[in-house]
Amino acid sequence: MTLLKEPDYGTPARVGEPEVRVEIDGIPVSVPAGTSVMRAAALAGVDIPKLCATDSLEPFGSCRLCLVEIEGRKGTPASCTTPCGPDMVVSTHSPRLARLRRGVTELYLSDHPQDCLTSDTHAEDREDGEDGECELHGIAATVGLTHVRYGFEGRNHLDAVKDESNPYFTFDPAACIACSRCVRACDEVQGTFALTIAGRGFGSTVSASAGESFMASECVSCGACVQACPTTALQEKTVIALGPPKRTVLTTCAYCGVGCSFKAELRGGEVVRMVPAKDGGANEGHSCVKGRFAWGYASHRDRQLSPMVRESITDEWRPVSWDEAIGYAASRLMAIQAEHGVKAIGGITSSRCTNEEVFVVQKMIRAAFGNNNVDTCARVCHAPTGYGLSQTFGTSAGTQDFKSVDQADVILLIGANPTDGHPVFASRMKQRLRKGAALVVVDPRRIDLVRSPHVEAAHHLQLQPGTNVAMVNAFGHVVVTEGLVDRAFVAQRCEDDSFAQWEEFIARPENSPEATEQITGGPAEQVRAAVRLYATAPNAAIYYGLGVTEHSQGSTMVMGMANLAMATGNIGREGVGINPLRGQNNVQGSCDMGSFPNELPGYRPVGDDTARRVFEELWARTLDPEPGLRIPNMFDAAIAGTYRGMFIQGEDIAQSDPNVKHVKAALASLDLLIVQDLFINETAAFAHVFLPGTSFLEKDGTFTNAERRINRVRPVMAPKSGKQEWEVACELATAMGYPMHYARGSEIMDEIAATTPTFAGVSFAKLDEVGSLQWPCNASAPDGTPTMHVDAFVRGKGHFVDTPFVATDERTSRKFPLVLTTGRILSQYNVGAQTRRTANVQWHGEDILEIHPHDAEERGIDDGSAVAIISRVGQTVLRAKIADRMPQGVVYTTFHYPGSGANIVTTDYSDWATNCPEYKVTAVQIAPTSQAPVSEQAPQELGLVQL
Amino acid sequence: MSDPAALVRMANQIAANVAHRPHDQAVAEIAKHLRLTWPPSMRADLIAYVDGGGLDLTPLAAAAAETLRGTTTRS
Repeated sequence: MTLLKEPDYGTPARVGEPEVRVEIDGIPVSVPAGTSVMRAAALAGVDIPKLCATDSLEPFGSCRLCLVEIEGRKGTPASCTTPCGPDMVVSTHSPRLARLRRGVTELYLSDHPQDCLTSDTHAEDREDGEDGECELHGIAATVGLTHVRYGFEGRNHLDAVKDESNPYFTFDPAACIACSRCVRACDEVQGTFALTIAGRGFGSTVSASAGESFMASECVSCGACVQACPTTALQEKTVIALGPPKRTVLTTCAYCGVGCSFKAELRGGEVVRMVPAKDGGANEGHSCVKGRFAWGYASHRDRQLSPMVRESITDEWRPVSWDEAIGYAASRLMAIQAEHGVKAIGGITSSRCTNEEVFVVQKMIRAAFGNNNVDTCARVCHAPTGYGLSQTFGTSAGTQDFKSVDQADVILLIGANPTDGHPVFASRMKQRLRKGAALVVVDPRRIDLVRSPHVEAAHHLQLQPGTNVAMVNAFGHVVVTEGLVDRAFVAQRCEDDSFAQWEEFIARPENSPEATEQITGGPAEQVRAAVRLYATAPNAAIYYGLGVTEHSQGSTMVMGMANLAMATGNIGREGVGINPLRGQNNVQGSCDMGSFPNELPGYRPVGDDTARRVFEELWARTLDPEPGLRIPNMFDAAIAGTYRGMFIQGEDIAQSDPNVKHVKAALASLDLLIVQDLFINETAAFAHVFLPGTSFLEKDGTFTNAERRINRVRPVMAPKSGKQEWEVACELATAMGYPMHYARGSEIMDEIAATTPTFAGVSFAKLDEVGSLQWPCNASAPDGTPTMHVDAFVRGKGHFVDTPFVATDERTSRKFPLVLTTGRILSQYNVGAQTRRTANVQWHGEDILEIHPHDAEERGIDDGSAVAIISRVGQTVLRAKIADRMPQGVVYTTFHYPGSGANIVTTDYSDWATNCPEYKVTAVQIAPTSQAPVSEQAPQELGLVQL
Repeated sequence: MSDPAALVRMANQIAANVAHRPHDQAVAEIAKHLRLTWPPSMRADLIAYVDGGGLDLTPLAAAAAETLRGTTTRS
């Protein structure tokens, strides 16, 4: 259900020209073949009553309310399941139809609670004419039903037990009309197939899994069923507690890089629920458990809402006014510069902040701090994407929109686990796979997409962590040596010389699947079969995640995939391309906004005089033409004493970055650390100034998702701290002697557009008008660019790069025989700062270590027992989970809990080109221990386990 | 002064990833990468490390560091 009623055409649109002409109640309308009579009627402006139909689901024909009469046909067919025929003449209203509809509605109501939520309970809250939550009551009014002849005393379901197991919604069988909308939403939209209708006839009831509670079932709590439910049988608990919402604000989710559009529905100043927007370009009405339900952190009691300062990190925090905090921070920053030089300070921007907030912080650092010591948390996730795609295609961006996957015939999924990391896109991908596209998974773990209901990968190449480049080289080798190169595409679109060089390199025997099998563990014949599938498909698309980038050859791997796409002509149209699945909501945007120490906004090198002059003229400051420090360089320089002051925007590097011991040593070395965040996080333990941040519900700006889609983030409420984050950065810059001022967020976007060619056509007004825009958006592409590199690459001709495999220096040994990889899980997000402060903890209350049964047995490890994870740099204790989805020799954990210490054991090794940490390869030993997992003990209790 | 071990590891790693190119081209490429992505202070520290013997640098990385002389000042 949703407060703001969007047009519902009853059944999904069909693709094609409007070639079938029909007449609905005398109104002519032309529709594509296969369109239902119900949809045609809706398009003609004729509303047909319905309960089991909604246009996000295929027609089902169960409620018998949408009956119509068709000239020349007997009976009263259901309009939802009846396709339009040529010159069909349809009547949707007649005395017979009215009688039938009243009768059906009467039967439904005879077994339906009369105090159904918002019909009575909150009826006093509704304005005149406002719809309630229950469509059945709305239908009763529509068909003119005023009295139920049968009474309410007969056999009914009104005493059925409510399922309240899910923390976010309830299932009340008494209000269920068994229309199957929830079941179909779970199947068709989400693709989990957790629900069914159990029993027959009067005993029919919605069942989660095999008669289990929702919480105990396979349900992933995406909420699609709640949204689809036409009654209040499935209902958000917040709506029950707070009453139905009264107003709505369209905004954008603050979690993963899918960037779903949501309607924040409010009652007064309080959010009652988040409903995914049907016309959201990225999500088209779908959501996941985080976006739809896990927003309570925004008003969590842990929010720190007033600025604080302290002289030393051993002192107590002292709440102060904004003026005092900003004045204190500015004076200490300037004192550091006076003593240690202009380059002794810097800062980090956050992918959890808006484009406008990031732009202002990097401007503050470049113009007010006077150096380029600015970096971003993308350093630790997708920096290799930027490097690799810039080298080969000419710009740092995914090539497609999400919709493009609907046209893919083969999907090559490398180092990504979308059902956990990018669930809404995973649902879209699964829809395409169920329609027949083939899937190749390249991943050490048997991720859910390898085999899940109605989806099975054609090939799962379970490679050894750290060997991606050897694998992609084997792919390239097969393409070249088996005659699978798209010669016409290469000749027309790519450089002759770099292709010739790559062709010679990749054809060498050491790149053959037979040779690389010894490195990757991927069977040569299976590799060859997978490549043939990819290279011969009409449309083949590559999707990838941090399993590609977080390696010592992350950048090389990105270039290897780009080589592969160019060689097979899989670039520049729908259904193909290279598609990074970005980790956080604004990774793309924070990179676009000039967060890297060597690049100005729009990925222009700081050494580019022409680009730098644009900013120098507008900002009236001479900018440094030399690159600044990257995040790991900042740590080293802090320990060396040359880097002494740091501003951190919305990032918890003391939890998220590798080798935490080293990170904490660096933070402790600083003279001044300023943290801007929602919560007192792990990093804030080392801070001298704390500046309260704003949640996504308070921000006024834009996010840019993984498909380069710029979406508005509209303030649902005023900033709880009293200031937008960009105001704080402006005031800090001003206090340092460089005046910065914007009256509103739109003015910042106007400055971005004025200085950054790919954003030239973007403004808040335009976004409000069209909904969203995918950059480049400029005079050449005023409506944005859903697909990149259509006629030519951004750099002109596509550039091939030789990609020799270079093994990581992090090696397994007798002492450290296993490889640890880290990642995330569906219910939690990144360092967990947000999701740990919601009921999502009920799904994942601690980080655990997954280990293959053989590895566990060899070490005497039982499921659920405590184990020590020991690497060359540190150790921690987690609870073990024996999981056969892990390959032998590889263990896995998440890093959502600060106490778990996943990053105590990860190392300083990083990507050669970008210093993106090698989170995916850490040599470890696992040993049983009598110590309790860190989730159950204070940090000081953690002793060392000797190997 | 940056951590010499970290500098050496990073420089050697860059060199290892372009080592398949002809020597002069590889040297030029490493140097270009260092100029575009390393701040002057780190480049200066690398040169200082070479001046100190540069024992742990691979020959390719050392050759690239040599070409940075004259273009890098600690600022």
